[in-house]
Amino acid sequence: MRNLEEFFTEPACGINKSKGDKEKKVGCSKPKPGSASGGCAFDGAQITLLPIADAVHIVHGPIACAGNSWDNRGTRSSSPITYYRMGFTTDLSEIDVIHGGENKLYMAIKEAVEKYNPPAVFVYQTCVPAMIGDDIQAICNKASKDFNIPVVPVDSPGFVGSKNLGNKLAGDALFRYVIGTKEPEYTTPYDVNLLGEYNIAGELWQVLPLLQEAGFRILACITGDSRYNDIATAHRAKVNMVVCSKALLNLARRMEEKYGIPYFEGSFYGIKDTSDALRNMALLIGDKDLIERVEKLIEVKEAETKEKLKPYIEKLKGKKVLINTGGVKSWSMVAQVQELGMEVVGTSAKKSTEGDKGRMLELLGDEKKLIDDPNPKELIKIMRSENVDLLLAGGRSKFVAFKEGIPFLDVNQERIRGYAGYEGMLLLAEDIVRTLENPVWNLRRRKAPWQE
Amino acid sequence: MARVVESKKALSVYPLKLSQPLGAMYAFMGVKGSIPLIHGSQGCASFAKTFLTRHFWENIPVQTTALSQIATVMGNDDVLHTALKNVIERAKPEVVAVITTGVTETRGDYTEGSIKLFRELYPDFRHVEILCVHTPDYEGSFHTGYKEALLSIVKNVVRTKYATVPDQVNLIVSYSLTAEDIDTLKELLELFGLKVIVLPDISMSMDGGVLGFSSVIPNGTALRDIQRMSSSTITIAVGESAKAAGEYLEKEFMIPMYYFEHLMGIESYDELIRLLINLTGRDLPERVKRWRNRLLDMMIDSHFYLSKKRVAIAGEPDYIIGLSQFLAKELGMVVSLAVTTVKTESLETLPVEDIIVGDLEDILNSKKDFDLLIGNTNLRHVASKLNVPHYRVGIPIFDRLGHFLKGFIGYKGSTYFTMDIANLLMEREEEESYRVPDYVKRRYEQC
Ligand code: SF4
Repeated sequence: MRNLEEFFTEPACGINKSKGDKEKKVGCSKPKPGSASGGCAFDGAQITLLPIADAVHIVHGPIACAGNSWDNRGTRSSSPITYYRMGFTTDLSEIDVIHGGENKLYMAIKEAVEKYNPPAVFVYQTCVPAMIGDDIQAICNKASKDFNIPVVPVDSPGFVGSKNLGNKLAGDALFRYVIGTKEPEYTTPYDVNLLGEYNIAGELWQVLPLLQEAGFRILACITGDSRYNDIATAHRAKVNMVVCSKALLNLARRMEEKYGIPYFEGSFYGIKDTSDALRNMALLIGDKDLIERVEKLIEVKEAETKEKLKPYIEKLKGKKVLINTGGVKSWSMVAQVQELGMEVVGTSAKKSTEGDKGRMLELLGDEKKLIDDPNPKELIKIMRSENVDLLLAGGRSKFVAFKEGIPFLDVNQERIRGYAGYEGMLLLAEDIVRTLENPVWNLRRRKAPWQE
Repeated sequence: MARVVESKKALSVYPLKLSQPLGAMYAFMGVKGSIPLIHGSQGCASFAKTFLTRHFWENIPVQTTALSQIATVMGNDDVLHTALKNVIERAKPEVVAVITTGVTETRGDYTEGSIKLFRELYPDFRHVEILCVHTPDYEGSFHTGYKEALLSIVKNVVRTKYATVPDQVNLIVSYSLTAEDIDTLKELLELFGLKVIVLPDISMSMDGGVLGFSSVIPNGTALRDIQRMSSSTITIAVGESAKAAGEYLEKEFMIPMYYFEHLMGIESYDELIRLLINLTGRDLPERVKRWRNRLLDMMIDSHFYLSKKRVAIAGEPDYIIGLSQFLAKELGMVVSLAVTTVKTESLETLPVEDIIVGDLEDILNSKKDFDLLIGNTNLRHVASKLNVPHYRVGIPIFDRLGHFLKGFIGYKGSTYFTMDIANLLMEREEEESYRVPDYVKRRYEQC
């Protein structure tokens, strides 16, 4: 098993920076037995890499890992080849576990290459084969030579840690095996990469026209709506934007070290953040014309969006929102709904860095509104005591709200509508109004005839 | 008679199989006050929770021992004990179902021993039932996991033989029965004046009928009722996954078991009703009887759309067993291919041309032509590739609302099911009939 310590000491990670030496060694927080939730490292690795639509992604393990999870994320792709939705797995059986799964893995890669002829194969290590000592690195090496195709090992057995660590491991795999292995057909001074944007519900597509209008070219989106070859050329970009993701900061920093690509963190949620993202991108490229053009575009778009939002804000003003989502989103969404005139009564600070928390505090002005452990019971308590009008959260919390009879909007990976950029802001407003104004919430509060 | 082959591919594509722990967990969705504790790394529980949440559109209580790297290699009781303690203190369950995974089974944990030790160390938690189900992911499938869970429930909870209650029967059901199906059977038995203990009863927990949030399974079969299963006069077991638990009660407590492979269509349901008439000497109300005529009428009205049409079905074994018999023996369709997840005793006896224990890609590879595909949501990938109508039955179904409120068994459920698939085929046939053949188009172009 590789040394994971480097991931726990990532200098660009705000969480690590805020830790003492002793804490750092322990690594990212371990899940508590019996009161844990959230995905494993494999889950995280898959989230980061699966959007590479034309590669074959083979999950090496028993059926639990792939069988219960394939095709379960909202990442969209324009690729005519959509291997990413096919759920390839070695589906290890008892005999494989006894004799070792290496041979089966090799054969599986062979079948995949012969049948689908992908530009590359990703192989994910999971718990059971890791325990019995399957050496996926060696198999991938061999297969890569034998079949003359990149075969990327992703060493991500679930037990090494959380989803977040898995994101990092995936970033590591890209850095080691993929980025820099191909040259782009051409480059421009305006080439940028987006890191950690997965085109969930087509959000990349929402901001793409905007970026183009401003004059940027997306060289590689890591990894939303990408092809393997885009990622391989990512080292030629002029700027990296890390989108709402602490996990890929590590990748951005290493790309800066090795290829001299400067990076910044940003988000496309809300008017202000979208504008800031465009601005920072232009500033880092440093082209004067570009900076000017971007400022002009921002001015026009902001005015236009604010005008269109007016009727919605009328309706949403003063409504109370509770937000339960992770990382950067926990503050960028706060800003976004505040721009809609709504009042945020609380937001999750569970996976947030000190920096994130600082920003939340700035926006909310009250420490009590940062919720450290947003478990269902806690959420319900707040929803009741604060008379919350809306819960914004991931799909799993949906039924916590619905069971309480409170409107809910999905802002995580399972949603089918995107909320990014100026355009996304309008959609968000529209969707919130649609859910709040549905008659069912009043009916839900009515007493049944036999309860009267 | 079916030819049964096991797929020999090293690479599984469009997986159909679901893991054993998921099947075990599903069984506990119908046990009141329970919470599954997945004994493994945290990801397994997370995937399972997301999966069932999407399937049922409900909050799904589940916890995990969240084994980390160190714990995985070492193997110790501490993690399980801490997890049990936390779950019991936080969620206040009546039943904790410790469900093992590939990780714990590979390590060779002696989970029962560890639970026993926990019992000794924490006498305060005596009131909580702690069950253990062994479900390594690399063996069996959802089907066997579900079966093992039911077996573990009856083995551990039904301990004493109580005096027989004359009107009481056990009903042990397969995962293939929906909430509506279970309701149908409960009502039927009540019409015969019987009191019924259903195991497991998802019709009260996973039907959308529960308001308010709960951190354990909010409703379903109560522990007390499971204990009293030893006092029933008979057991009715529906589906192969329910049989082992029924057999256990028969052997240990001498409760005769009546086993039904499935309850779709006329014949099997007739047999059940015959049994109930003989048992109670009662008759059925006219409104129930009428549904038999309605079903027959529906079968006649629809037969032209269904007869000899070629179907492929995909799913865990109990779905295959029920669907294939109804489709082939009663609706006159040709079940030319069935894909399932694990070999069971009855597969070879089914009226199917070929059965493959494999994945959904095997349907594409079979090179057969189909008029209809029946299976879970994932089958849509195959259906769109083949351009064949797809009717959703199975697990998971996450792109349709209310599938658990649809009935498939009995006279009434079978009527609706027949109606649904006939409508699908009728629509397709109608569309096709308007399509102008290419040679006709050419003729007019020449003019
Ligand atoms: S925790 Fe391990 S076994 Fe479970 S899903 Fe994750 S990788 Fe697979």
